[in-house]
Amino acid sequence: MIEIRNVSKRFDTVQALSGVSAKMEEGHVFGLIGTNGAGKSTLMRAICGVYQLDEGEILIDGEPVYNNPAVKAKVMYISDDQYYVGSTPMDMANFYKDLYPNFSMERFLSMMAILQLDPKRNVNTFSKGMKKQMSVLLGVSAGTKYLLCDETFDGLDPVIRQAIKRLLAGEMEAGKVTPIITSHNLRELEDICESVGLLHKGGILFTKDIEEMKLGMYKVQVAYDSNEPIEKLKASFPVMNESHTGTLYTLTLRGRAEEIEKMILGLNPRFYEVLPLSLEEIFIGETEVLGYDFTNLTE
Amino acid sequence: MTSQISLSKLMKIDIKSRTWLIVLSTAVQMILGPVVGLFALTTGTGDKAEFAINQAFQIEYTIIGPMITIVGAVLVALIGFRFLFSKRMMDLYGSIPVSRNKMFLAVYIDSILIYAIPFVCSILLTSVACIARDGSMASMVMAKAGMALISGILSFLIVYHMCLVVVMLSGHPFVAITGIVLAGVAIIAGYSVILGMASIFFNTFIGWDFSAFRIAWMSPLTIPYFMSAVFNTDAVIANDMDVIIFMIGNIVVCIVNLILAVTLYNKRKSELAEGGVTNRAYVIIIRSVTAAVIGLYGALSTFIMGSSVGMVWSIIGVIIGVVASFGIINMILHRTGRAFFKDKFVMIGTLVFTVILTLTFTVDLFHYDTYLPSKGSIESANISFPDYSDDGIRFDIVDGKINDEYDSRKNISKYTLTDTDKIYELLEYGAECAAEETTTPVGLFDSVVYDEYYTEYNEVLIKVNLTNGTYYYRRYRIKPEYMAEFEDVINTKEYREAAYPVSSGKIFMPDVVSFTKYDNEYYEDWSFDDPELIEMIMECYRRDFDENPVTTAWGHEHELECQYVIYEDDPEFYYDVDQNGRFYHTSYVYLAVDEGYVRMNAIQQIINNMDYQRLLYDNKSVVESLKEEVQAILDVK
Repeated sequence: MIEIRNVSKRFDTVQALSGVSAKMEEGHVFGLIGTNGAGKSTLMRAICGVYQLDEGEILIDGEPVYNNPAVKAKVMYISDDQYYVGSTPMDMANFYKDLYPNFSMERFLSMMAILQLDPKRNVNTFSKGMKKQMSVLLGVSAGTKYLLCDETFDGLDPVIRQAIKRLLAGEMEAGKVTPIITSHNLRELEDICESVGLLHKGGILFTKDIEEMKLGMYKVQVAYDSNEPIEKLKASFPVMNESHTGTLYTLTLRGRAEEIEKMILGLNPRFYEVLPLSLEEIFIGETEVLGYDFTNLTE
Repeated sequence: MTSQISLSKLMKIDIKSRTWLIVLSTAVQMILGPVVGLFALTTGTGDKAEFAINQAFQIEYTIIGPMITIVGAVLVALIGFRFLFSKRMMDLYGSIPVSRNKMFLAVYIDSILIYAIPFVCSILLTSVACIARDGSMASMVMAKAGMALISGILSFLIVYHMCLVVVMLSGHPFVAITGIVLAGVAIIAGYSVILGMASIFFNTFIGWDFSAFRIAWMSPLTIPYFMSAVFNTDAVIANDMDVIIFMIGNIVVCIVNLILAVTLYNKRKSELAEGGVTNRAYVIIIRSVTAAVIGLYGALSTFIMGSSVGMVWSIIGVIIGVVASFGIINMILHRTGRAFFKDKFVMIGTLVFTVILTLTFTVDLFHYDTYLPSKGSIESANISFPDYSDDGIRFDIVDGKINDEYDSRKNISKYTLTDTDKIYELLEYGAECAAEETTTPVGLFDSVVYDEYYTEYNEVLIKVNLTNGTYYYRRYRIKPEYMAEFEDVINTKEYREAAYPVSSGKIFMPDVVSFTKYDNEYYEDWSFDDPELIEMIMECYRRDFDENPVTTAWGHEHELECQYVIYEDDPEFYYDVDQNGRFYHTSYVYLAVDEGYVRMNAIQQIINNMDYQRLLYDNKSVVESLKEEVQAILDVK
């Protein structure tokens, strides 16, 4: 398990992380989402031991990670802009093979063959997507307990994305690896992650199981004859988001589905519908509450 | 917790990522070592094996060898630790399971090996080639090779460790290179300008011998040149305590730099990659010190331009120098023009400091130049009058032989004065001169002051020994009339023998003596190398010298040129070789022939009256007739 305890990190005048705490369980895919500049990559670098923390600690299986080679050997970090040692994927594989005792060259080469990537081709001639594929294959082949993927799915085509997702899911089911993934594509995370942590302005807002999260927040479309029932409804449940076209209101409410539906029905609606939220809608709702709202850009 | 990977394996990984540098290092060192050495061994070296061997090793000892050392050290340091300058590389190297210490050690050792292995191979191959040419010279070759190895590796480590410190303090390769250059140059320039200003503005340092050799020992960037010079002439090491002290000092600095680099590396934060300037101390060293040094040069330049209002101009020079260089370095370090006025308060602080430093010299702000110890604290003084000594040239006498390495402070023991009243009187007079002349620098190229100095003043060098066992030096210019009070010093046997070793016959006979023949408006030099004749002429001179008071070492109507051939056991490529295969160079001593020197004036008269054609075509008979005439002069009591 990875335990993040009250972690803070400052870069000159920028407070990149501020009192972040989270737990990432073994055998679960953990998604790290957040606004731009929220500190996702900083947190990933801190988890893999690149950054020394100003405050707090990060424990991997109970041991601190910074400057601790034995613990770092359990973690493989794939950065969003990976540096490649040597000129070919084979050079890179040899580099990792020397560093990670469980690295499987055979596995790496077989997966490269499946994805039709030439291990002896110059990496500089690879497209961005091909480089990302190669990085994931290197990460999986390293045989580490934890695999940190920083925006790894960005730049992959849909087919490869599905293939990589299946690969990670398979590895995880086999108990070989615990992936921790950051991405701006929340649709991707929704499919693969079991729990997510939401970061905003260096602080973590929550870490929750995705299904549990979806159960606690709903999008409601409702129309009444007057405004009074709407006001009552808004007063009864925390409103995450609100818009309306004429008398048709669209509200994002936090609460249990049955209770919300009962309240709406009690106020005699002309029309109503209660829908579960996507991860993206939850993200927007949660961050809008914190003022991360730029709808006025087009006004 | 120990690292999972062995040091040797990590070194192997690191070295694999720098194969191009290994190829470059090997190619350069092999071409400029054995290849050039072989060329030297086979062409244009004559019959002398020593010459050929010297030629073969000259790359290590002249400009190219040290240059390779400097460039090599900078390159391996920058490229070895390049991951500190790249966020992408830092993500990779910071996340892999290797401890920071082990990473440093692997890169550190690899970098040395990348330079040292080709270097050692290059020296060995050159040695093999030299021994193959002449096996009997094996011991000389081994000595040369050994010296080259010590010099090369030591120089490399001194530069390399300085580069490591700069690399650890910076966050961008360009900033690091700028830092290395500025640190190296600022040390030399700072040391030079401060010594220069001291010698120009302080009477105490007038005419002081500020050797470029010693200045260059101060900077790691120039040390390889001087290290190679020192190791090429082992006699210098043996005889010059200063060199040994400087060398030990540099080795200590080298070790301290390594400790500093390791400490900085371990404390260095990964996020500093691509951060440009990352350390406050680094900024102070690179920017403020460099700006202050340039400010001092500005002061000096504008002082010369300012003439009568030189002091005001010197302040303007400081302002221009400090602000401009501070701003430009800011722009370089931060890579933006907007950074020119960054850290204004530090700029003002640097400016104030440099102004104070300038005023310290120009107006003797802290009264250093006019300081007088209390009369009671003076025990004795060693006195030397540079204008009344040395037989007309500046040199040292070591073991009865002329040594070209002149150090005026070594000649201070010519005379010891114990009359404290007289010592104090002289010091007081000197302090008065210093107070009057502080803003009239004699060292600058101001012809009026310069001429005045040589016509109106004489120098006196004093080493004041205090009762508490300490001592200090003062060097003042004093007026000639004041010298009269010291004639009893200058004309003592002890002083004369110490200050005029040739005139008083304390060192061996010259190999050649030359007279200048005055023939109307023509001047011709006539040289004689007959030992018997030389001995007779020198005896005439010694007797004249004994019978006359000494005069200043310059401005005589006649001079006798004495030429000394100095043989060297350790040959260098620029030495001459005589017909017996011995290496030598020549030194000259000019002896004053003044009015009272009746014997020498008589010989001069004979030369002046001698027939030109006879001198030109019948030198042998001229020598024989001269012998007779000089003997006749000697016979006159």
